[in-house]
Amino acid sequence: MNDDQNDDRRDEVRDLLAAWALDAVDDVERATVERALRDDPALAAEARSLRETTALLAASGSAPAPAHVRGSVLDRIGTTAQVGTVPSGPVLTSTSGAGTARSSRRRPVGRWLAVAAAFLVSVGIPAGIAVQQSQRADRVQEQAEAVADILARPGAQVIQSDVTGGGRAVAVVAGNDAVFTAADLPELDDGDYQLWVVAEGAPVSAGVLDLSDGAATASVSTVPDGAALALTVEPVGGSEQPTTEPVVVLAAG
Amino acid sequence: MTSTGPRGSSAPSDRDERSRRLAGLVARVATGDRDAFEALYDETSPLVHGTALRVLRDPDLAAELTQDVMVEVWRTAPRFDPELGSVVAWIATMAHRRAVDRVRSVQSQRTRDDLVGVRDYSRPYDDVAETAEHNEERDRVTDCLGSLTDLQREAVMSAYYGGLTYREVAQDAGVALPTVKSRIRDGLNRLRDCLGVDL
Repeated sequence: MNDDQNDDRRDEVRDLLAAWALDAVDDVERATVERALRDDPALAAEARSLRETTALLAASGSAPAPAHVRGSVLDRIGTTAQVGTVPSGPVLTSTSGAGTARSSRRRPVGRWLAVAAAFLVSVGIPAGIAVQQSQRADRVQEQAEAVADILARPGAQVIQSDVTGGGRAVAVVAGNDAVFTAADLPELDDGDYQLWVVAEGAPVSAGVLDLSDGAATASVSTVPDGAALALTVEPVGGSEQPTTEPVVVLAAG
Repeated sequence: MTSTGPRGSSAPSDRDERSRRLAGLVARVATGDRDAFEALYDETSPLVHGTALRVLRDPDLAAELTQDVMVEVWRTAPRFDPELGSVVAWIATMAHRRAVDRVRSVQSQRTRDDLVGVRDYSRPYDDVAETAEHNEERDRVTDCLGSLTDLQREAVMSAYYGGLTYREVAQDAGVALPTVKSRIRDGLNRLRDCLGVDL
């Protein structure tokens, strides 16, 4: 992109900034604006001042919440882990001397179940959007059940890795089945994350991830022995074959 | 409208002080401090609830959203970065986005007729005073809103409290997109300058 185009783009974003600060843009425009803000400190400063302005507008309409809300919130935070903290509990702390997964499978699986469940909870209730909470809760429940099912099988393995560019991926593999989850993936403005099953160097698509606040889960039931799961960034809608280097590869040992 | 007298020149410094105090609370909440969270709840939940009530226009939904947002504040407090803005802006953004997302997902299921009904009700400027707690900062905002032209104010308020995109604002007002964009932009810029928010 040359400088003129950059300037045009900047003017375009600047023009949208007030509407963005009022949440009066669509999702595509929101993503465009927020991407531009990451690369442009002057624009970001202006965006901040407009956000502060809308916040004062919001504060001017303050209205006390009903008293029962306070009690419910305080109850809920008692069971809600904060981001970046590991929930403590007997399952997590009883791992000393558990040995390797091979020699003592039960305890590590139990431990991983707890870790995976905590992971799913933090994936499933993400920061931004609260649309259709109950549907989402159902989905989280389904995901947690899928992980629990697969973890309960003999020989279940958990593989995890950071994702290039940001985020973290975890796969639980048992037999030919796998559940893949990822969290904190950067939103893509003009592409999709696509999952691949790679056996003997030949990738087969396992579908495009349905990203929600940077998180996604996919179940795959066609994982041959020794296969790996790979994630790539592809043009919107996905590709027949990968067109970029994987951002993460999870290989069962 | 009548002016409430000279705008307090102390507004930004009061605001800065509150801002620092709230940021201190969030830093404690981030370490799992429940007492700090209770104090933060008491200071910021009215903002969340007021926003939810105006955008959603349903007391039950507003209470539910307030609950969800305040739990989210607890959960994500370790990620709060004071360099990126104030606590009030962080929480207001979270509350407003959620409310707007909810309204839009409901609206997309409705007929156009119902939708118009919802929008006709989106004239919140005059009722700012009805639900609001009385305080100086609120008077200042009311005052500053009065310094916008009617068209600017209507565009800003129907976008913010109606949960509309600027395209929908344009459609409803029957005016061209660039016109609405500049009403929103000029209106919000004027509000910012009047309120003394630093660039």
